[in-house]
Amino acid sequence: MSGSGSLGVGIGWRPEIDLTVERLPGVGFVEVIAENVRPDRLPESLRVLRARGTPVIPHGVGLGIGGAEPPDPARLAHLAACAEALESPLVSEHLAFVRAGGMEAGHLLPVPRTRAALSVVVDNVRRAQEALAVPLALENVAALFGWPEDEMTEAEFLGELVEATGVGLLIDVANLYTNQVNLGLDAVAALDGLPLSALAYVHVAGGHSHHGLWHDTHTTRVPDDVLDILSELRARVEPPGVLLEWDGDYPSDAVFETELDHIRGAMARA
Amino acid sequence: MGVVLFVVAVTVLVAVWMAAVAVRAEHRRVISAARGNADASLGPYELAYLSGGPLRAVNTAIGVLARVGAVRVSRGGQIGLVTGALSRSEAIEQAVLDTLRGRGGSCPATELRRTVAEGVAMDGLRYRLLGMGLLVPESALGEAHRLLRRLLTLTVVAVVFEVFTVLFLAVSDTADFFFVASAPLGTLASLVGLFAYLKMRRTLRGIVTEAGSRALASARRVHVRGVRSATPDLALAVAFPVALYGLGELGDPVLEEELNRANSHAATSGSGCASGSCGGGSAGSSDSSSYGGGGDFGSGGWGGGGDSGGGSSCGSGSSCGGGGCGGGCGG
Amino acid sequence: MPDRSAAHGPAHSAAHSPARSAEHGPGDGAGSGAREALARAQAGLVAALVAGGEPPEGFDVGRLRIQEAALISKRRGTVARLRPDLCALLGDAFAAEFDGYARGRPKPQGGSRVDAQDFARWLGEKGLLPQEPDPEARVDPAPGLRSRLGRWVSRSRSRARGRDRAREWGS
Repeated sequence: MSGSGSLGVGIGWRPEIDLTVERLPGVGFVEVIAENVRPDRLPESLRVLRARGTPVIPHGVGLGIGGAEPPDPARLAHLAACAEALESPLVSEHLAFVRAGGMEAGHLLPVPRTRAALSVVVDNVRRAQEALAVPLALENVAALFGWPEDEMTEAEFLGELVEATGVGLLIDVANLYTNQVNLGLDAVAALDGLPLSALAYVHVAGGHSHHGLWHDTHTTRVPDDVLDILSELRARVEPPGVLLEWDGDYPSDAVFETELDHIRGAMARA
Repeated sequence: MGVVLFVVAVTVLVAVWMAAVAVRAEHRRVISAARGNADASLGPYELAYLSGGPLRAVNTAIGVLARVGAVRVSRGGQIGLVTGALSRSEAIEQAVLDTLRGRGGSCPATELRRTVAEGVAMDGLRYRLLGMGLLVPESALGEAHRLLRRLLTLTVVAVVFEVFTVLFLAVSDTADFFFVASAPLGTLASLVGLFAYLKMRRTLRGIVTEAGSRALASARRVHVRGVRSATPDLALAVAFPVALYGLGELGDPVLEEELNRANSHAATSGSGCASGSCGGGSAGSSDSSSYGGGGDFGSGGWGGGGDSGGGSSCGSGSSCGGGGCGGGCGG
Repeated sequence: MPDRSAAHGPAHSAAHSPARSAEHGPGDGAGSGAREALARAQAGLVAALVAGGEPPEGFDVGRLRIQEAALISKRRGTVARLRPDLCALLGDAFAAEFDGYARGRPKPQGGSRVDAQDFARWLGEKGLLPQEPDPEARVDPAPGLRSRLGRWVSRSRSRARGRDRAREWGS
């Protein structure tokens, strides 16, 4: 994994804001949704960023490494090809499943946190690691519900997974916040339980509150509550990088700049 | 036979020449006949229209809106509405925002320009300029268009004549001077006609009156090309320079290049705003769909701006997209 | 804040849970039993979320309904972006119509574009579309060739338009 603090503060690259991302001051790294790029035909903007030396991390959303099936070799090959084309230091995905029984969920769903499920996920992660030339990091997801058979917290599950496979950790503090609001799972307690030594980088994003539930939409400013969790995390470990995710309803360049400053502020506050 | 052909060739050439001169003369007459007030104080959009037509006016609006952060230009010449963009008092600027909103928030620049250039806000601007006598009304151009059509007819005659002459020369082995000399004359007549026709057709498309030209010239004396005032005043910094001299005066070569690019995203998405669905418009979805289309990776459904996270269903603002808030969670 | 107690489930349902039926430690690889049990459990959940299936035992049904609505809302947002024409046509009824179409119907293979086409066809069958549907929405007997052709045509068209439009007058 990359050295401590080496990535800095980053932003999720999206085609709609490509020039904005290129021009934002102080962007240390970016992330690109792996399913949206072709390694043999990289968008010009990503080539510009690479030429400048900005690290680009492929972020997969469709692998479903928490699924019952072994990860699709074609999808793994695609992730590997993205990492190679972008000379990425690592690849990231989610601890989630996205399809089952021949149906696409269209979403990142939580894995049942049982020993049996863990054995499946450990095997899946090992297969993925074999297919990738760079380290893999997995992200904690947000959920609206838990499985009735859950035996472990997500932190414990990830801890076991990291121990068994050496997989890296992508901590989404907005997802921790979401689970705190929606499921009553204390975010700071989760931080204490997570294997922070495996931390690869961090996600931060905004969302909406609706009927008492938090929706992690990635379409608004990051609320202070989420930034506070980032500060808590920073008090425990120096994250190699922190990345702002924004997926639609894109605001002006000035707002993006302010948001990145807020992230830097939350990091300095710790 | 050769002499007759030669006389015909000369006649055709003279006729084409005279027709071209007639269109030009009529054009001169029309622009000087109109009464206009050259001293009218004109805003950037009036000047943009006089200087470069409706498309220049739209470019000016895009330049201003990009500078204030109301629209965003992305690579490939896609223009997106910035969330939280405020209403604009300038009609053309507001028309750009409205058009984008009507297209789901983004649209290729080419398409945006075309739509706004043909829209009601542009009509309003045109009427205002007509009212001030700075633009020649279409109705005053009847004679010019008639003369232009005559020029076209004579050009066609010249081309036909030329084709027959060349064919005849090819199959016969005549060395008659007049016969052979007819060919270059025919070529000349065809070229003169074609060139004059294309040039005048463009000239007649939007005609600025003499008063309009004077007003334009005086504005150009005030706002000199390349001299960018360090003022924060948007009109002086962006609107007037772009209006008078084009996107090159935007002071942003990357943006200029993307705005001038014949749109590639629009092409790959195959959407064609013309059909009324400027959909797919977002570069993200077009990319992912052309990729996902292969069926190997990505259902394509993950495309559209990377739904790794919640899906922007919550409060998207549009009456369609939003509705019940239910953005997911995750990513 | 809705009642969470159900989300964490009464113990008795967990005991019968399929995901739990095969016991494997993380060290001994994934036995096929563990994979099969996980597959059954996940398929049951996905069916409840996207195909109108019965909610599996022990889950917070209220939360599953919210998740189901969220998934439909996400699909709706994407389809609305892909087909602003349908959006304009249906106006305020768009959301309700889309929900009617999507409830209990999983997102088709082929992703959002196919979803949008299916929705348009569904509207057509309900008689809610005007006579000439968008050409993109047609069921295409030879999608590969046709779309490649279409892309080529629209690309050359847009190039020609670009050339035409890039020119402003008099400059």
